Amino acid sequence: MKRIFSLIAVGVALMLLDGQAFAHAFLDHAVPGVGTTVAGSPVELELTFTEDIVPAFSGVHVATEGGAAIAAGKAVPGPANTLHVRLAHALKPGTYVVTWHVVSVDTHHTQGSYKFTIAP
Amino acid sequence: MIRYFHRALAATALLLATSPLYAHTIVGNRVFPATLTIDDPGVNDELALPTFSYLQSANPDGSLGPVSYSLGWEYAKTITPDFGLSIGSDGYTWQRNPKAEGWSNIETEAKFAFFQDPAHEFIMSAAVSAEIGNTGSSQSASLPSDPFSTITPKFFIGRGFGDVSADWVRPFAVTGEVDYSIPTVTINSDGSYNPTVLTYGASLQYSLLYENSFVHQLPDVFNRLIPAFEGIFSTPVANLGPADPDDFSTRDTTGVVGPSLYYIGQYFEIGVMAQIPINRASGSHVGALAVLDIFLDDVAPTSLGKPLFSAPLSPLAHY
Ligand SMILES: [Cu+2]
Repeated sequence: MKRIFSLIAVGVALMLLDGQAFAHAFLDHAVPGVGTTVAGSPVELELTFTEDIVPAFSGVHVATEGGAAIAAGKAVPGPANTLHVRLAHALKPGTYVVTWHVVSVDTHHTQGSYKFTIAP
Repeated sequence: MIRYFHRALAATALLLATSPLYAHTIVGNRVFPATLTIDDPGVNDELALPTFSYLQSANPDGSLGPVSYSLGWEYAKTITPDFGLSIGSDGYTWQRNPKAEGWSNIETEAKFAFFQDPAHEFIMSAAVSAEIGNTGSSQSASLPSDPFSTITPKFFIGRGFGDVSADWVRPFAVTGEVDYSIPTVTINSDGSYNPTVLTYGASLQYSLLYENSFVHQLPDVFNRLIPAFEGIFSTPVANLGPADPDDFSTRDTTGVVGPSLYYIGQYFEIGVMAQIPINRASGSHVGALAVLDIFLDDVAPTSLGKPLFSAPLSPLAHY
């Protein structure tokens, strides 16, 4: 029994050392921040994910709280699992909904949305 | 053995520093942690090593009973993405007052996640486990293992509330488990009975992971935590045997409840819980539970950590 435990523990330690991350990608943080209120319109949105993503299968859409689409560029990958989205125009004060969908490098599809507010 | 645990822990500690988040039973955007009192509702590739438990029991007359510390383990392997097998044990128990120690029996389990609805973060699973008699310490040990096998059908449920419109509700989730344990031997050679036992438990979880990603951003220290409140109860339902005036009633429900906290790392989870006995038959004061759970699907995604049989995933497939 003792030997089995030792073998398992050593095996796990070895795997941990060569392990690479391949889990689902969720939103780690964003600029403007998830659920935050900012003073003026941002020039672009930045979304950072918890895992490496495949940009070709990933996208970001912006809309008003009422659902009207906001003109924005395509999501452009940046370093460190980020997507950058340039806004076509400055946003008026109000609450906006950002909807994202990404595919992480392990081919798992995740999607979600969050809001941010521009103060009047 | 302890030495090897330390080595494994040191290796894990290194990884803690390197990269961010997320694994375990994942349904839609919901991450269900491996909970301490009941099992999580999904099927996964994990190694729980060790699970730690400390509890002070009471005697029927109110005096302090035995104190026990145990170190257990469990290894779970997915065969298909919805079907998994696991093997584990309550492991080794050290008891004081009176002093005794011994290995618990080995338990094997087959589990099937028969319903999953990602949009509603809803999952249901069923399992059958077999605790195999005489696979722990022999009957001559100071803490012998059960000399008989026990078969247990189990049902699991998990529901996250991310689809609710009120933002404050969305980080919440609930999980539950119901077990029906049937001993294969009803009366022991010494005349004592092995009752059939109904075990049931639940957890209420508040996911700071969820809040951070979907509702309101949180500082780094908090965005990997899932605080919860959970409990587990056991009620003997059949084959109770005659009452013993010097012991607790054979009909007593026993159980523990308490707050718990889970840290979800990239490759592992750490969970701790204060277990509060619900009555004297369950214990005399607050005990503790802890687990280090290693996510083999993230540690070794292309070998040990993936289902034995699974269709190749297309990048456009939804889950
Ligand atoms: Cu994944």
